[in-house]
Amino acid sequence: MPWNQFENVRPKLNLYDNPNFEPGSGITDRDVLIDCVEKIAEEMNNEPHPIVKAKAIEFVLDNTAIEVNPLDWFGLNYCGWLTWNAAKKIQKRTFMKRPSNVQNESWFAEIEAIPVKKPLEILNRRWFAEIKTTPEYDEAVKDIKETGTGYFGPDYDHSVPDWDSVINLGFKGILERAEKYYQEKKNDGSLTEKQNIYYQSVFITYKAIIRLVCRFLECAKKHEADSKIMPLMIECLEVIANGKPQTLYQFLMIIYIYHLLQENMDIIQVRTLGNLDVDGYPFYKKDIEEGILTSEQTEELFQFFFEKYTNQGHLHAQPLYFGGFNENGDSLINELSYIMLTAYDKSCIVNPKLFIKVMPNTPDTFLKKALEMIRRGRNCIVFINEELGCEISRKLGRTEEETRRLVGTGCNNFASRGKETTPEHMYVNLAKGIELVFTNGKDPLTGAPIGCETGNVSEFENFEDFKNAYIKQTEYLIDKAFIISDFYDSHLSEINPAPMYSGTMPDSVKCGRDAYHDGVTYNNTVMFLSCHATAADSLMMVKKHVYDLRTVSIETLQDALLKNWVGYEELRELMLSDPEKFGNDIDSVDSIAVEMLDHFTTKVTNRKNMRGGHFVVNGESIWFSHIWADKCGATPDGRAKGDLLSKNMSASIGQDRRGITAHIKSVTKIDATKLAYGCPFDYMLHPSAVKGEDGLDAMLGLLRTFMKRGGYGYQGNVQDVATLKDAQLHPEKHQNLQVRISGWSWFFTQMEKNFQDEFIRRAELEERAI
Amino acid sequence: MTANIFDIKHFAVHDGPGIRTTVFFKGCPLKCIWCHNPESIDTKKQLGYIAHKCATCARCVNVCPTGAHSITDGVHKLDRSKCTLCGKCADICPSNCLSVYGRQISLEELMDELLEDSDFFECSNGGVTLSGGECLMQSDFCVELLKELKKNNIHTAVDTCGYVKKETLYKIIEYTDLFLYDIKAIDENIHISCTGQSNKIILENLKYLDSLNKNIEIRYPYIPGYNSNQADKIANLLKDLKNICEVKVLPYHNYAETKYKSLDIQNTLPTKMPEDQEIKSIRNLFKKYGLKVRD
Repeated sequence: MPWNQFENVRPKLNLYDNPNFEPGSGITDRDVLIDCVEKIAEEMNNEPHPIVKAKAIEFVLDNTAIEVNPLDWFGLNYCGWLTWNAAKKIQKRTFMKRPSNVQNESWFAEIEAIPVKKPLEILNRRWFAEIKTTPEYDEAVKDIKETGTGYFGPDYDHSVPDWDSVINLGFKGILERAEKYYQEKKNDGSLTEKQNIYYQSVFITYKAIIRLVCRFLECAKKHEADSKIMPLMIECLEVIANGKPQTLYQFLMIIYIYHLLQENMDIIQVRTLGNLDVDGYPFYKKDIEEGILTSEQTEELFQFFFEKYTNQGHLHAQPLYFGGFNENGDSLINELSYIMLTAYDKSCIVNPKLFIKVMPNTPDTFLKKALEMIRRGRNCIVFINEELGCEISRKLGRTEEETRRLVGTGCNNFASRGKETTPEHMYVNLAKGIELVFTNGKDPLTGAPIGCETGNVSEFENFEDFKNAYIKQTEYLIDKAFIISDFYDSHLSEINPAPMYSGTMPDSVKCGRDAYHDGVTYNNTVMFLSCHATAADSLMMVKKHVYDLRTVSIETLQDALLKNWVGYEELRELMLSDPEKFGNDIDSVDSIAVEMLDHFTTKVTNRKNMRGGHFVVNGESIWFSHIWADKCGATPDGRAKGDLLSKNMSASIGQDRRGITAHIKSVTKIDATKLAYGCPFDYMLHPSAVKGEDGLDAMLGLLRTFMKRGGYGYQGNVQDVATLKDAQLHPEKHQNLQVRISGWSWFFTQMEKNFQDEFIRRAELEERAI
Repeated sequence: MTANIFDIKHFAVHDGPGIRTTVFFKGCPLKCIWCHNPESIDTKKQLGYIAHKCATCARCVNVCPTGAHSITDGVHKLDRSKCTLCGKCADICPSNCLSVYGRQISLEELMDELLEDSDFFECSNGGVTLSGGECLMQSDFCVELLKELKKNNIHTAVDTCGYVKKETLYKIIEYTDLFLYDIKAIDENIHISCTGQSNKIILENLKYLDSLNKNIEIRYPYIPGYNSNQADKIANLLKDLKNICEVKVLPYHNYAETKYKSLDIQNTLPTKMPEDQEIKSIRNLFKKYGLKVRD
């Protein structure tokens, strides 16, 4: 039997980095494929972009060299698939180097800098360069990244294909569905030229996909005798070439193939592999009943499946999600959910990353299994409040059925299943406005006029004046973000038409419009409002020490900030040690955070975008609390230039002094329904605080309380200082030590020292508190 | 009505079921040589000073109204005879090296703070634990506090050394869901030498509580070379009781060393710590007697 092989063959599964293409199967040099795509783009210069893209996809899929690894249940690879891991190696970048050193260039400049690209990226770059920017856009983007004010770029990385279509129709069914709508429109005479172009691009793309599957099939047949897996893989590919999956293995295989193609050919990240436990369960159940699989074999099959994503090495990891509820409200956590978790645990990986939907009736045993993994350092797991997700969904106008079947996507947010595109073009630093109030709109470090004029700070009469100036500065930055987002939203389908992704989306294929061009029901655009705690703490310190207690004059504080506290060390100490900070369940400061977020989220969500949808908000900081740290000067909370800004929804580092229960209470005072597209809370717990059965029960209690109080995403670390320090000194002894970074985890020993130090500092503070 | 407490710990995980908030009352009738809360023993207020945390910033010197703090040649000195325990130094200390142990708190104030954690109690089947010191030295306050907690449907646990009058126990029984009951030794002479008191009342009270069908979790602090030979005898006593819901073996640790130093009191802590294997075998011993043991 082909089982019990995973650990033996594991080192030989990474085809992406070590390809061994089938001789004579096609072009083996990615650069040649790139040249060919460039040539297609040149020759078809006057053709519509969707057709050029589809033709380029067709060329690559028909002509790329392919290979089948007989040791691997999912051992399919083709030339042109540039994984994150491979890209990193080519760029010779140190992974997790301080992001401010590597991520402060624009998105496209970064792509330019990559010596070897995905072939289809050539088209994106070419078409983006063709777009004429507007003076307003040029003005809005000026100095934003350089001053740590925000971050921007046209985003195709946060949408999810309609997995229902992929699973229930297969590639052939998706093609037939598109043909049916095309014929209907043609027959009733309503087909426009644009729709015709759209449908033709879908046809070309899906026919090419089916031919590629057939090529994999023929290749596999050549290796039929090479392993016991091969006859089953041949059967699997035959089914997928001709229709929809019938077994759990085929279900996972079609997901793997589709993911491989959309990310590399459509140049759109697949922001979740889907609700694998729930959607896979009918296949699993049938396989068990028919004696095709045992639960142990299922576990091994998932280890092989997960390994594909581990080997791809996506920097922020590839998500998949667990759970949900049925029409009766019953939890959909099932036997397969447990098997998948066990497989993940055994593999000790951080890619893919796991997202667990939590309802009040999600079984404790399942949550405890995941929490127990986190306690052991297997922490690439986020818990998301599904009840809150449903409330948000209803507010956004989704139907009850759509609400019940929300997709868990990206790091920690929800989207409508198969009916939504969610580009995330803009990140706004909420702490930046504080600096700009003191400098009347000029960036203190570069002198760039990034903000607006709010007057001389020394002329403010009271805190209200200061607060209003801060609001005005931040609103000015948000207005710039609207301009930038609008520009990208207007050109998304020109820069990167999406025939593959759109083909899966029922709304898009029905109306004959690209999913990124109003082709789906929900066309919202996400804006990130990050680092609120640094802003709230700073406002509190100004209120308390400048205007209420008059400990310091505004001029003195202004001078201290401009001098980065040099010569004002005592004042800094006073600000830093003042306990009235967000994260301690102190209403005075928590209410400032609540008020500010309420104000800014209202402004953002009241605004319509350029694709017929609305703006929505995410409160995550991703890793911008690092990236912006060096570009933001000192802030009144005692933070110096270079010190981290606050992360996600949590308190500033070291300011949560009253323990995790107070921290949770502060965070859950914020109305998370207004941060509808995600706002995770990061905790750090000391292992001794949660040891034993009591400790695990307590971890569950914290999670349940967080959810009950309306928190959104819950993720974190259970680490002690000694282990982290030892891992820094002796990485060879701690290869498997994982830490939660933001919406993903990574191996501690592979991170740069400054990143490691952040975790050690957090752990030290936690240790001091117990 | 006020109580003399020295701490309120939120997210207490090992003081009864679920997430708990533990109130530490000040004052204890026993003087266990291994006590890990030496600040709990004396009923009087105390000032703790942790020298290795001190940044010698001199803020305490400037704020102290009686000149109890001084810094000479970069070394901080505390003259306890001058200290009035006003706490101004602790309030201003940026390194948290100064703390005043002991404060009066009203029932209302305490209840307000405890009720803030209600969600955590509800979601984890947790509650409030009264601990110390010996909380039942302030039994009148405890009764009122427990009554209030029960009015609010909060699970209550009382962590006691058992060295109290039977009537005291009787007063709180109605409002106490769980007793966390310390048994340190069965042999009276060992008990006296380790705690300064006989264990007669303690063992009688345990049987009394059991007869009243109260849930009791037994806690056996395991100190190698002191009471480590008592496990078998304790298990033998417990096996005949009907309401022992669990036994917890608490392995001795010397983390409290800093606290003794900070209070300038004699460090009585034993030096030998138990091995993990030793604790495991003790737990197994209790299990063999049919007792439920929580790791």
